[in-house]
This record gives sequence, structure tokens and C-alpha cells, in this order.
Amino acid sequence: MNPSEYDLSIIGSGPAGIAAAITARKYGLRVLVLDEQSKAGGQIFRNIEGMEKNFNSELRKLGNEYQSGLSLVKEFKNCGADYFNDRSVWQIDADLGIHHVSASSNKVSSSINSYAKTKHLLIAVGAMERPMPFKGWTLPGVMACTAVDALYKSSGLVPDEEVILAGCGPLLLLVACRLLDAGVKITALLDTNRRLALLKALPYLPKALRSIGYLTKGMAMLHKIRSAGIQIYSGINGMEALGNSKFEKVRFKLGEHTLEKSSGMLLLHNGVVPNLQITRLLGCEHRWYDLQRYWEPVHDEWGNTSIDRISIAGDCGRISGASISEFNGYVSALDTVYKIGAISRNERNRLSLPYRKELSKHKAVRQLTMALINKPNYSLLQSSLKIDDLIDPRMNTVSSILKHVHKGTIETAYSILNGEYEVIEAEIIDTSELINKELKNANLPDEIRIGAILRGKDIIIPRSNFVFQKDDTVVFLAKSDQIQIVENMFRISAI
Amino acid sequence: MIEKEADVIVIGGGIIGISLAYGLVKQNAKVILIDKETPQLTASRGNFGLVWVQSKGRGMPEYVDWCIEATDRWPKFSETLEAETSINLEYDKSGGLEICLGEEEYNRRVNFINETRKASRTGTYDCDMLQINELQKMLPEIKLGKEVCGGSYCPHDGYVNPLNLVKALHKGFQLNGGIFKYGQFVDKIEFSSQIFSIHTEDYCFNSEKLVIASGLITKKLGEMVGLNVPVGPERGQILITERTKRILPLPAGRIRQNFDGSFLIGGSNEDVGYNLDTTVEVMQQIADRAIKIFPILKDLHLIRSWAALRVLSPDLHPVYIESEKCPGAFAVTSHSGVSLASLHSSYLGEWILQGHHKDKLEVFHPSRFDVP
Amino acid sequence: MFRKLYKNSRTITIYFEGSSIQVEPGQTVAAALLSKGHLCFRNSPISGQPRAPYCMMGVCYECMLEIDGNSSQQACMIQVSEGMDIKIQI
Repeated sequence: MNPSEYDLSIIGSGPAGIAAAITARKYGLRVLVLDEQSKAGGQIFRNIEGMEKNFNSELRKLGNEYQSGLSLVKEFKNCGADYFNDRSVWQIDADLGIHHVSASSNKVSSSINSYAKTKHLLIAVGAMERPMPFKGWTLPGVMACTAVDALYKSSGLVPDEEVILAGCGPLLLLVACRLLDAGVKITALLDTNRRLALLKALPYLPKALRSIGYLTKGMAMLHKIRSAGIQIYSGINGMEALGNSKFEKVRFKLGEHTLEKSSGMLLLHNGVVPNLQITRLLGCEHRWYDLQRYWEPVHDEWGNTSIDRISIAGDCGRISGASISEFNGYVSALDTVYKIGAISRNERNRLSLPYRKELSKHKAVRQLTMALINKPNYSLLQSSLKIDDLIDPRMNTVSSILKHVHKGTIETAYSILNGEYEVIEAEIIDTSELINKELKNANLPDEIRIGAILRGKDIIIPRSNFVFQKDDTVVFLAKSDQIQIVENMFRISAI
Repeated sequence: MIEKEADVIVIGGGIIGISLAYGLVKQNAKVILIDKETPQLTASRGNFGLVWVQSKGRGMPEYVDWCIEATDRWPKFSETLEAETSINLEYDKSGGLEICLGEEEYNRRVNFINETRKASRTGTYDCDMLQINELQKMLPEIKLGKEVCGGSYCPHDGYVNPLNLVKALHKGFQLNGGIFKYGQFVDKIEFSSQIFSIHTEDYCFNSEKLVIASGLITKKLGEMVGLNVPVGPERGQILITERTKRILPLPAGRIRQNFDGSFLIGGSNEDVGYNLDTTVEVMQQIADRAIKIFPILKDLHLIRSWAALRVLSPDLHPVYIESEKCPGAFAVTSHSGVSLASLHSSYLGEWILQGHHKDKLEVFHPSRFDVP
Repeated sequence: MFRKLYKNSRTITIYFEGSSIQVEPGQTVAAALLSKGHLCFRNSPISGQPRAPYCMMGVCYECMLEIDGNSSQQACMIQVSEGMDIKIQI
């Protein structure tokens, strides 16, 4: 057997894998790209070439980010990498020999097995929905929200019966709006997080999602959904899907009451997690990332894992979204190009600098944003596993203080880092002493760090000469024991 | 450095250690179990789940009888543990088959069975050869391949879910007052004034009795208390298929079907040191043999494969020893931790605490390896 | 179950449980069958429960069908092709 030998082999042709391939090819590396899907683009750019060819008008509806993926995919197709779709990698030898078969035939008696040797391996297999099992979730008619998204992108299909959306995270609202636009009736929206946590995170969704047409302000989405007569239930738990041979209704608890809602389909979303199959099977070290509550492979800024010559890029290492995944791909590939010897270490650092700058510049906000979007509420698991009491010490800090101060249910604070810090959103009102002050003169205590300012539709990362204005919304990080200071300086906004 | 005391310290939280620890707390001993918790090397996680007699004991008839007694006690052992912990062990004393491909294999098997039957002291060894027709009758829903010419059936045999077993033993251990300290790597063991002091990073554990059941590390730890326990690794690889309708009612020729419908296919014995890689060549061999036995397996998807290291003494049989230099220190190692769990959690506890059964266990002393 | 938001004029013929159906090319078997109102793809081999596609991206393994004689094919990962023979797996 004369196996093909590559400098870099990439598993996954989403934004991270594609970007890496393009970069590696620029420096003349022999590159192999394998994807078990039938088309390039990953999940976010699912069927992008098909869309362009057949449904150009729909393409525009999906927004700028999706469309920008098109040029990326085209560049990838022309970059000279050996690219194979419908390939399932089923074994990687210790010396990085890659065994792959057609994605539709990985049986015990091996069928036609392909084998490739590679010097370096990049895993860019992306993310998947966080599975949150509960009673009845296997009923036909219960599907993941992203499944409905995939059906729309790949086949232009939308549900033609009523749907209920359930879980946690603002992506529920995103999918709700898209379905509404397509004329789908939504019976109800069940949020396992408490009131308004959903809403507050909306302004901070990453650009990629915000640019999908109608995602401008959280309030606008909420308004749209409320005007459509959709009932929103917040803080539900004990969810159960019921039906004879398909989904018919959902039963859930809201406080003391048990409610039931009938509908045609139940769509679930509980955040997104890295797809760890390959890194786990390879024996890479993993760590628990508490901010978003999932396991991720241990990796450095170049994507190197704990195993020599194996790196990761994109959402399979840390959920960050498409554009960040793309940058990860560039950075990781440049590191490989350096390791192969085509560029020097300095050149690697210089060439990757713009991407690494981007990556670190938005890191704080991004991590914040992702935490707000992606942190699950485990109430469903709690009820299905019959856990009597889920004690989250983090819930007992700021929220209770604020409740006391403002005499209402306020969901504007998130405890992070084991309760030591709070992420707080506050509004500059006309009596605030910060108005017209520059950040450098604001005399903010050291324990309070500003993450971002939302002004109108813009997210601003403030510099020292940034001037606060009325109606600015400030997202900041404060040590939990500094909350009194926060209260004095800002009026904590409430809806 | 936190000091902790117990009647018995057990080092090693795998199947052997936890079986021993469980048995000890059931006899009202105060037990602390220590484990370093690096999963890769443990046979407890990678094993096939057989509770088995057939094919064992070559060269040591006492071991055959030991295995028979173990499987005799297994149903009660399983029942008690399940009732105590509410964990379903998925144990089935289904009997077991070994499959022979071709005349030569068949004849070798006939000889082995006869020898073993003759050697068994208790005369309770029950194992019969089956011709192909009789064999197929035992497997009404799954067809045997053309090269199969027969096999042997042993009613002592069965299988269990090894992960649930370890989980249940740990739960039972703690329910009965056992203390489990994991993430503790033993640096050194001292023995003075009849007390063992076991030092880890965070603790010093003190007791009058010490049991070392640390798999491949037993040798190194044993040396600290004057024990010479020769064990070495042997790699085995296992294939797991997708779930399908249950058609194989009992383990056959290193193939068995789980309660959840997936097939486990095993069968390699490799001398590769501490290497845990799965290799295509060996997986191919395992798959080829499996398909010769049950052609229908050809159509099943391979879901997962793994490799694990068996803990083997030079003659493949258990080693049970009490230290002469440091009385009160014991080492226990065996390749068949699952099968012998029923005895490790009963007899061995009595041996460790009261010195019973010495005669029964003598034959497992490692002095049998000494070259005359 | 599902309806089309935008249509492709071209169709191809595939066979599901022996009957021919017209579906648009360029989509997965799972999407094609869902678009024709087929929801339950199989019964769980152990519990007998009815099962249907859930993730549509190849990670849940609920959408398995026998396609062109090959068993346990993930229908959400395979594109429809002219004359494809699709059966429910027992």
C-alpha cells in the first residue's frame, strides 16, 4: 500500500477547517480535508453553495454573515487541497495514520478503507446541541432547534404545524423569529431560565447572529413574539413530552402549577457544546469550562492539544461562533506551516498577529456573551433525574441584594467564577455622575472592570477617552463583595 | 499532612480493590480505600464482563475449582449487592460457549476439557462438547458460519455489566461506612511497631492491615512492604457494534451481546508493554474471526473500539500473599477480577481479618514462580 | 409535518418502502422523507419505541434507515439520488 502523505490533514470543512486549509495551501503544504457531510461549510454555512445555485433570493434572507461564508467556501474549493466529502474518519493510528471510509458504511468487516499518512492533524469538527434528556424526548416530533434550522437551510423546509420552543438561551427567540417570518405558528415558548435572563443577553449576541436580518434589539424580538400572541413561560421545569406514537403535548411546572400545552412539534435548545468524540477517543486531555458549562480539549493559543502534532480549531475547542472559528483556523494553520519549516517562528508570529489581536480583543466580551447565551439551566435534568434540590450558590448573591433594593424580580446579574464575580448590566440614567465623563476620569474602583458599552445598536469596547452618555448600557465585571459600590454608581435597570 | 486511621487500608479502587474493600466493611472493619485515579491503565474499565469458568486453569486445577466456587456464589452475591444499592448489575448466568473453527481447534478443545475435568478436585467441573447441530440449536436466532464445526458449553459461565458492578461495589462500600479517597498517589509505605503508614501527597493513612490491589502497580507498591508480586501487562482490544435486536442469548467465542443490544467482540492477547493503542491489524483479525463465527455481524456498524491491559502473573493465575517481612500487609492480584468478585468480597476478607482459609489460598502464593 | 418555503422545479424519483415518490434533488434522505410527511423512521430495536430524526446533523443516530441495501444508514447524512431504494429497518 502506497498511502498518500500529507503535511496537514484537517477533519471538518466548516469555517475553521476551511480557513486552515486555505492558509496552509498558501505556503505550499500538502493538505487533506475530510468531512463526513456531503457539502462544505459546516453547520453555520450549511448548504451555502446549494443555496447560491438554487435559491439565491433565500440566500439574502439569511444575512451577511452567511453570505460571506460563500466566498470563503469558494476560495477553499480553489485552494488546491485534497478535499473529500462523505468521509468518516474511524481510526487514527499512533503515528497519525488516518483511516477513513464512506460515511455510509462503517461496518465491522471493513469495506473500502482509505488510508492517509499525515505529519500534522487538525481537528475542526465544530459543535453540537447540548443534549438535555427528559421524559418523552425521544418521541417523533421532538427535534433540536438547530435541526429545524438545518432543514431550512438545506431543503427550504419549515414546520407546517404549530410548534412549541423550549429550553434556554436567546437562540430560542432567534429561531422563533425565523419561524414567524416563515409563517409558522408558535404555540408557546418555554424558558427554563428565569424571567428576562433571555432578554438581557440579546443585545450581546455576537455580530454573526445579530446580522441575520431581524436581530437588532432584544426588545424588538420580544415585541414581535408578543404581538404574534405567543405565550412565554419563564422559569419552567419538570418538562415532559407526551404522546401516543408522536409528540402531542408538553407538560411542565411553573412554580406550584402544572400546565399542559398541545402542539404539533416540540423544538429544543439548551446551548451548544464542543463535539468531543474525536479528541476524547484520541486521549487528549480535557478540562471543564465552567463559564459555559462544558468539557473542552485542553489547548493553547495555537490550538495545540495535549498530544503532539494534533491541534484543534473552532467550536470543537471552545464555542465562539463562525468568525472566531475562522481566525482560529488561520492561526492554527500558520503554526503548522512554521512547524513544517516553511516559515520562521517570527514570521508565524507576525503573520498571525492580526488574527490573534482580533481573538484577544473581543475575548472578554465574547466570553461574557457566550456565557450569557450558552449557560444552561439544569432544571430539566434536575426533574428527570429526580434531584430534589439544585443548590447553586451563585444564585444567592447579587440577585437577592438587588431584589431587596428594587422590590422586584430583576435578572440583570450573573454570578461567575464560583460566585466571586458578578457580570452586571447597568444603565446610565440622567442623574448618573458618569454622564459626559471620560472613562479615565471616572474613578472606577479597581475591582470593577468595564466589559462593553451598548450604545444604540453598537457594542463599544471603551478606551480611556471614552465618554459616557445618557442611555448607555454598561456591561461590567465586579467582584461580588463590591456590589454596594455598583449600586451607588449606577441605577440597576429593570424592566 | 492529614492523618487518618483505619483497621484496613486498601490501595487500589479497581474491581479487585473494591471487591476486597466491600467484603471487609461487610465484616465490620473500618476501611479506607485509596486510588490514584488515572483511568487509562485499569483493567476494570476495559474488560469484557465475563463471569467465567470455561477455558481457565490450565496447569492449576485448584484454580478451576476456585472459579467454579466463584460462579456458584455469584447469583447470591449479585442479588445482595443489587438489593443493597439499587443498581442493576445486568448479571445473567446464561452459561457460556466457546466456538471452534475447524477440526484442529475442535480436537484441541476436546483434550483441554477432558484434562480439566479429570484434574478438578471437587469433581464439579461441568463442560461438554457440542457438535455443530447441537450448537446451532442453542442459538435459534443467530446463524453460525460455515467454518464452525462445534464448540463447548459450560453452565457455570455467565456475564455482567462490569461498569455497573464497580459502581455498585463502590456504592455498597460507602453505604456500609467505607471511606474512599481518590486522587491519592502513594509515595511511600512505612512499617513500624506493627502499624503501616501510607504516605500520599495530602494524607498519612495508618492501620494495622494493608491490602495492595493496584493492578500493574502492585509490584512496585508490594516491594515497599517486602512483597514480591510478579505481574505484567498484556493488551487486549475490544470492538463494540451498534445496537440491534437481541439475538445472542449467551456469550459465545469472545462475542457477547449487551442488554442494550450492542455486541462486544473481543479477543486479542498482545505483548506490547504498556501500550494502549488500538491497531487496525488486530481489529481486523478480531472482526474476521467474529464474522466467521456469526456472519451476520458483517452488516453491523462498528461504533467504538478500545484497548486495555490485563494484569497477568507468569502463569496467568491469581496471586494472594501475606508479607513475611511486614505481617499484616497483603497483595491481591488476578486477571479475573470480575469472575472472582464473589470470593474476593467474602473469603479474602476473612483471610485478611482473621487469617482463615490459608490452606485454600496457599496454592496461589507467588513462590510457585520461583525457579527451583 | 413540513412544507416547502421555496421550490425547485426539478424532481427525481426515489423509492420508500416500495412506493415511488418524487422529491427534489440536493437534499438529504431525511429531509426528503420529512417533506413527504414520513416522520417515524424506525422503532428502537430494544424498547420498540417509535423514533424519528432529531438533530439533522449526524450526531443522534435516530434517523437510521436501510438505503440501497446498506443497513443503519444515517438518513440525514446521505443525499437523495435517482432510483434510491429506502426501507425501514427491522
